[in-house]
Amino acid sequence: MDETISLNDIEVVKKSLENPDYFRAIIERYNKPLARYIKRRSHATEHDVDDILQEVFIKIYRNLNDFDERLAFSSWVYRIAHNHIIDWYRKEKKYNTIDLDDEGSVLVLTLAGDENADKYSNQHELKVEINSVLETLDANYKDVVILRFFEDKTYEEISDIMQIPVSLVGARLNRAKTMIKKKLLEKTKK
Amino acid sequence: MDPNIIINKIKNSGITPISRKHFIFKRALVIGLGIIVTILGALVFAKITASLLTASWKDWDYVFNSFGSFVYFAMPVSWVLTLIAFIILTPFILEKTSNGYKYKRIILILFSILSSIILGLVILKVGAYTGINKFFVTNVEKHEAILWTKPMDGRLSGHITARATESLIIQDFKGKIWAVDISNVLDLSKKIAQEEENIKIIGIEIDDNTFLACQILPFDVTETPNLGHVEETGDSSTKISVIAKDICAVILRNDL
Repeated sequence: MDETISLNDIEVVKKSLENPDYFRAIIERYNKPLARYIKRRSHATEHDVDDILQEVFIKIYRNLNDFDERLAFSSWVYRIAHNHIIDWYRKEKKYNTIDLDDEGSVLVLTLAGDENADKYSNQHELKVEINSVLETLDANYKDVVILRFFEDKTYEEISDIMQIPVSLVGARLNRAKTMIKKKLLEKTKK
Repeated sequence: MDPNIIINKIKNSGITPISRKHFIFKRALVIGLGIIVTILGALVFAKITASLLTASWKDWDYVFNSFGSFVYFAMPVSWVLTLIAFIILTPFILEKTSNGYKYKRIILILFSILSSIILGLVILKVGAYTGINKFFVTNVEKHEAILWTKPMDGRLSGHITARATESLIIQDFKGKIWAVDISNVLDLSKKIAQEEENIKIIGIEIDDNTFLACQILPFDVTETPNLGHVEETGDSSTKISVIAKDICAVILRNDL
């Protein structure tokens, strides 16, 4: 299916509806970003991540006819993954947690703020602290932080993924950043 | 993850995309539900507005102890609560539409309120309300029926089952049959008795089944005709009977 290289997502979607082999291109394009997002968004094991990913792709395939072309396909894919993770948490009755990996290192500084970053001798230590602070945040705040700082999504994309108004994305993001900085500051004072 | 695992699973399990019709139906259902709830909200608004417009604002003191109790009576509380329920429900439905999540809930609530008001006023304006109202068993009518089924206090209401020149047979809203003497009422009251199906009567209870009418009003008009000045005397809860007796006394005296 090399011909899919030159096709955009919407064209691949249309072809996938006629022949499931074309759906391979969608899987190849979104395999890594979704696996990374699922991993960040949960403390799922590698095995669980694979299971979730498989279920997400099958859900995407089943719902291809529901894709609204006014929306970015990637946002729609992330939306399905986002909702599936929430369902997974409910089903597994697991604590809603996130996992910062190495790719988030630079952005950790953005979240921490200069005043906090200076107080930590190394970035790993800071990241561990941010991780523990993020654990204390409500899932809604964690979601916007991950999508904005780790998945590099715009406010509009986050709005489409989480199905909330753009203004609420901004408000949650600001609130989350303030809470992270405040909690880190409290930790350094102790 | 190897894409072949997913592709093979799709093929081997016979998984197919859900049909487009299914999603179109789902979207239409949400939009349809939103439209239905908005129209119902508008009808309820029209109902409340009509109830308030037809309340006896000029003559409330003939029947009610205080203006507060009149307003409470005139305001169909359960309809107001129904309207609030529709107004709250609409944004939740709108949020389920493909673009509904893009708007703040307060915007959706305002949209819901405005659409109920505008559509409600249109319904009132074009007169569609009168026809639709027949489908409603309104609180106002229930309240009215209760309020006007107190023969001891000089109020009686019901459905006319038989008419004669000087008397009527009515069935009150509790199902009781009354013989109503209308020999003393004015011509306007007699005309109402001849033309209307449901009436309100101000008068005096003679015995368990007989009522002496002094004034007859159509049941669906809550605006009480001007009965003239009546001095406020005694306990206001018995005011209506005092008024009724006064009116009867005047009419009887004039006739005699």
